[in-house]
Amino acid sequence: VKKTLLILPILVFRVVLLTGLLLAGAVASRGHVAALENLVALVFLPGLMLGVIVTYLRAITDRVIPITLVPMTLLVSAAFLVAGILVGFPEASKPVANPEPVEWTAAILHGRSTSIYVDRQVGFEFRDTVLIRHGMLPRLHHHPVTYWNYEDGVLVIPGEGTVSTAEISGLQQTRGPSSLTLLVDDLRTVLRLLPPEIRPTTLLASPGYIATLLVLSGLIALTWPLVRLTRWPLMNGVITLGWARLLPAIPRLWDSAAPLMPNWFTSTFGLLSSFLTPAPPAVLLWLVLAIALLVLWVFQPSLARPRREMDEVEEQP
Amino acid sequence: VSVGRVFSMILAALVVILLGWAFLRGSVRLSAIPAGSTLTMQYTAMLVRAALIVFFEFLVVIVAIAGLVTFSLAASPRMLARSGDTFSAAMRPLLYTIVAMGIVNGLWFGLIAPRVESRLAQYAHRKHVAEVALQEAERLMELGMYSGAEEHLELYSSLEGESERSIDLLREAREGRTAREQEFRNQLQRVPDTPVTRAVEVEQMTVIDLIRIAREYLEDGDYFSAHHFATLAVEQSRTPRRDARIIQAEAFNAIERGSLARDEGEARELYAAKIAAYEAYQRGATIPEKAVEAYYRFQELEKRIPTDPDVQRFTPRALERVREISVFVEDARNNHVLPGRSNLVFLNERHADWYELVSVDKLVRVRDGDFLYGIEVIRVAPGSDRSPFLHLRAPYGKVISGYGHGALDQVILRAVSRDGSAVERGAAVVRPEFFAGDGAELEGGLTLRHTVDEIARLGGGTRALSLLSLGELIYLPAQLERLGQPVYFARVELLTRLFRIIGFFVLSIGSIAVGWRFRSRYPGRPPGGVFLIMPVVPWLAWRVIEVGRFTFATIAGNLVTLTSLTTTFVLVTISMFLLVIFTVFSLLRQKLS
Repeated sequence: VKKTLLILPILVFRVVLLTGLLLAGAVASRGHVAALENLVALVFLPGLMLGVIVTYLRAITDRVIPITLVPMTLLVSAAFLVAGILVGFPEASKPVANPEPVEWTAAILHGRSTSIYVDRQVGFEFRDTVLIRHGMLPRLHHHPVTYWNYEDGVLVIPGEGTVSTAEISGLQQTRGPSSLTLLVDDLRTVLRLLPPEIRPTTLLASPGYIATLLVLSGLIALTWPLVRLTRWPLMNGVITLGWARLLPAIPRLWDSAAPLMPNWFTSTFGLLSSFLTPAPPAVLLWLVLAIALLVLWVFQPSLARPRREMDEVEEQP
Repeated sequence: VSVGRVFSMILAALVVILLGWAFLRGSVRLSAIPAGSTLTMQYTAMLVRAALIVFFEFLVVIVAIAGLVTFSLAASPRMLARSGDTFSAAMRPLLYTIVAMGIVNGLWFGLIAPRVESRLAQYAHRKHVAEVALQEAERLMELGMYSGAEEHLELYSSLEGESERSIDLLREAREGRTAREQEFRNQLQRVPDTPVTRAVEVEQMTVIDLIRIAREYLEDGDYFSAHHFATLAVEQSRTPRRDARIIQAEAFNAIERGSLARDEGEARELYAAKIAAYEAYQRGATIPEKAVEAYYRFQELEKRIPTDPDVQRFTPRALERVREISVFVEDARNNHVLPGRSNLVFLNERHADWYELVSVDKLVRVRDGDFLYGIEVIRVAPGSDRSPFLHLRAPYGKVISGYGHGALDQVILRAVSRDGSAVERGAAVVRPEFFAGDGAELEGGLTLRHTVDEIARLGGGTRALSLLSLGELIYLPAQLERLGQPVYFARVELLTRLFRIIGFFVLSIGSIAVGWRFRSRYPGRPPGGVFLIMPVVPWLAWRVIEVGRFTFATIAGNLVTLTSLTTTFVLVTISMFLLVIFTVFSLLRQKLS
């Protein structure tokens, strides 16, 4: 128990460290997937999850007693989540990325149907530009000033309307690889299930939020049976990471699968979910998964035997 | 079995799988290119190139997977102990292999890949040109334009060698052309013959020679030639030559007299036409429009009196002169179908108070020269009310090289039809259309401040960057800047390549450390169920690398704007090497058991 207790500060440290690292990575990529103020909220859950997984992976070889480790992790996760809510997750709504960190001067930005020559850039204002419309006659159009609306992805030409920048290199909204953007979208959906800004008293008075918090913390803490699923830690790591990726996707998967299911099933499920957890159906699905993990853990063989076996193997000459 | 051998075996198996896939992807890529025959050596060489590009793209992934699988599943402490007393000693031969592979990977991304990419691009371009040339030849044959078809077929066989189809077509085209020429000769025989006087070439002649020849012509009664040579003598001489001027005047008087002396009717009319053509030719030396007029007049005369010595002498000269100042619409149109670089935009000049931007719809480079289509030029004075002060569009242009060392190329913007027939808006001469200004300062041609090579290579945007080697990416930015192409993208590309080259070591060595740290604790082989999840490993490895590459690319984008390129380059290289050292240490820190 003492050894397990010692892991606690390490766990907290790792969560903070990994959250910080993810945040640094997200800031360095100029928040291509979210506005900077939303990044904290977005990296918070992955940081917590990764911190727990890394701690569990190392704990396996450290001979800790899981019966004390898992509940402690549950408490730490819940504490982190509540703290996050009390600090207040900003509304992670609109994905806003930041433009390329360059001010263009005397630069031709090429595009498929439209290119633009920018003589000088001042903020989001381009001075003495020449618009090159590759499919129009004449091709070149001089505009003393054009305005770049990054968020809507258009160039505003005074008196002439707008031109899309979707295909103009350097002006397009760069999006990361689809795996990353999809993950961010999923995380955003999960964040919407949590209260945006709430006082402790109101939090206690809303059972839906409490259920969501508990189920989420439970799921995070219960990755333990997966981390020791096989006797090959690398494979366990892969499986757990896959699992960690699946969790935030559950609300989306439910939304896309629900219309395909028979009516009676979805209505029963909805009824059941409002009865058991006054929260969206995804929370009930999470609960089911958490229970499945709990069952898996209960029936898992003890760690003592493989350890003994390995010791025997490695001690042989 | 040593751990090195296990690693090599797993890697070899993965290499075979990757190569198979790479060849598949390569053949898909090549299938977009019209191929003559898929069994040729050339096709095979290109397929190997296309496959290598895919292979190296994923090499780091398979090395990482091999490291992970070998050290987490296949290798046991006992196996490693056989290779050395400590973990680091057991690792040494493997590290040498990884370093060797890393160097190959570095050479590939830094030097070889851009060359291979450009070879593939050239190959695709040549195949497209050949295909279009053959199609165009067939079309021209149907229209009965045999000499045009012959040109296209010759272009085809110079690119693709001879095929049965092209040999047949070429024979048909030659027969057609010969028949046409025979027909033309038969018509000519009906025109009465006049004696042909000797032709003399003026190149390399001194003023004295020219005057002597002019005098001889004058005595022989060949007044046009006498006048021509006397004029040349006057032009070439540095001091005023009275004798040359006298011959010039006498010859001109004789020409005028000759016009009166002729009989009424056709002969007189022909002689007047010859004078007009000759006058236009003389004035064409300074006035481009007159040169074009002279060319058309001599063309007309050649049809009527092909054996006239004056016509024979001056028609080629008029052609030569018109070629220097204009492009033939027919040539331009013939070459338009050929593939080239399209939508090129570049900054031609930029000064403190004005800049000149040029857009070219298409650039076709053929043996005859570099043809430009849809050239648009705009000159803007920033902050001025009367901007743009010049804006023109020319449908055709041709690049003529400047004379002398360091001379700039010129783009001729005047296009004329070969036979004087109307080509555009009822006129035989196509001039640029002016939207602003009158182009007086252009003097008939646009001076290019860059070589056609640079424009073709870099004027099309960022897609050209993958064709540049690491060295070029370091030294080219100044050139890019002059062309108005953003240097930013080249710098990001440079850093991204560095990440790829040095990142190879981090990923391959790190994968071994991670694999060993989380190795299988099964006493023997894991149960079959575990292997079912194995395919997730490459998928996950690829996803992680993909997200990593994206993050590094964006970090590179930020870095290049913070400081100068040299500082960034040094900083990135040092920090990447530190990362490599850190990874090596984390590997060597591992214990045997």
